[in-house]
Amino acid sequence: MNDEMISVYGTVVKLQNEVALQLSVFLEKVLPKIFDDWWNKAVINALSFQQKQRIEELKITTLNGLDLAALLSVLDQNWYQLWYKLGSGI
Amino acid sequence: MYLIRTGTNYGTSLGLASEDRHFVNEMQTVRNRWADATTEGQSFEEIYRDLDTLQRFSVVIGADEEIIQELLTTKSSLLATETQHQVHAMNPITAPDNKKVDTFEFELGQVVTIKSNPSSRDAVTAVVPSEPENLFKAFHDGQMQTFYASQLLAETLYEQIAEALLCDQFHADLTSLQIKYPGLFTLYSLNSACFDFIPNQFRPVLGFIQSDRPRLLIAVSVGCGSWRLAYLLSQRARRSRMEAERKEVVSVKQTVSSDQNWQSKI
Repeated sequence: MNDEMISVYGTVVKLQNEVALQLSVFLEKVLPKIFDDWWNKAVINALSFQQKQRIEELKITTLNGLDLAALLSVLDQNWYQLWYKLGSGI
Repeated sequence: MYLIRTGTNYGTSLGLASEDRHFVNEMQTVRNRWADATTEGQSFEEIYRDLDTLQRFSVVIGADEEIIQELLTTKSSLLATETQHQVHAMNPITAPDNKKVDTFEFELGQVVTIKSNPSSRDAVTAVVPSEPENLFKAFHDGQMQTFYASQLLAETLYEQIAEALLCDQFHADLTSLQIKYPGLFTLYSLNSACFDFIPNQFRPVLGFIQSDRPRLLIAVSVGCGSWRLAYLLSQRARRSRMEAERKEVVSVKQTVSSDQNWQSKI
């Protein structure tokens, strides 16, 4: 990998992190509107075993602490609820 | 679930369209690809596509305008860089950072000698950057001619090369060459046989001893001296301690049975 590629790699990773931050803000805004116990029902339930372990080990309690993979998993698992319930004006 | 199956776009009021789901899946692919990036890196097409996905996904989740603009700028910058690379690849001589533009073998007006005609003295009148070799125009024999860089020699360099040596020095030079390259490019046939070789018999043998993986197929008609050639080759191989893995002679029946067969000759 040459210097140019390393620079591009760094830029893309940085942008991914920024998008992850934006995604956590988005989910934090919409998930409480749909679920009563949104953290357990929408977040914990959507994560893989390894991701759950990581949350427990690091004592993460906000979406801000999740990485992009976990956030995308949350969005993916709850996509239809978001799409349907928010779309019907709740 | 029924509503989903009907395909009705109920998510529109939030800005979530049914096709946006595609970006979620694609984002997962992007994330995995960059998390598992190899040292070989990604191609331009992949990087551009990933940035495009990031940008479109940001729009879907209502990300800040700053992020979206940053992604757009990065995409444009990447595209510009790639376009520049492609232009360089297509036309390397116009590249401003190309070394060939700045470092020519000869300068304008420099007196050069044509290697094939050392007595000539010509001045370079034009330089034409080219691949794989630069071209130089020089006024030679009353007309403008174009030469490759490898065909020319700077006059000063030629004078250095053409420096006269004393007989002892010349002998020492030859000896050093002989020590450095012990017979690799030289074929000695003197007194190697009680007959005289003819020039065409040397050519394939020279090709044989100069090749990286020596192998030779002699396929000639009767009377061309193929056995002499084979003899010369075997002598050379023996002198160089080369072991032939396989030697095979294929001949017409009457030649094998006659007195003039290979075995009796060699």
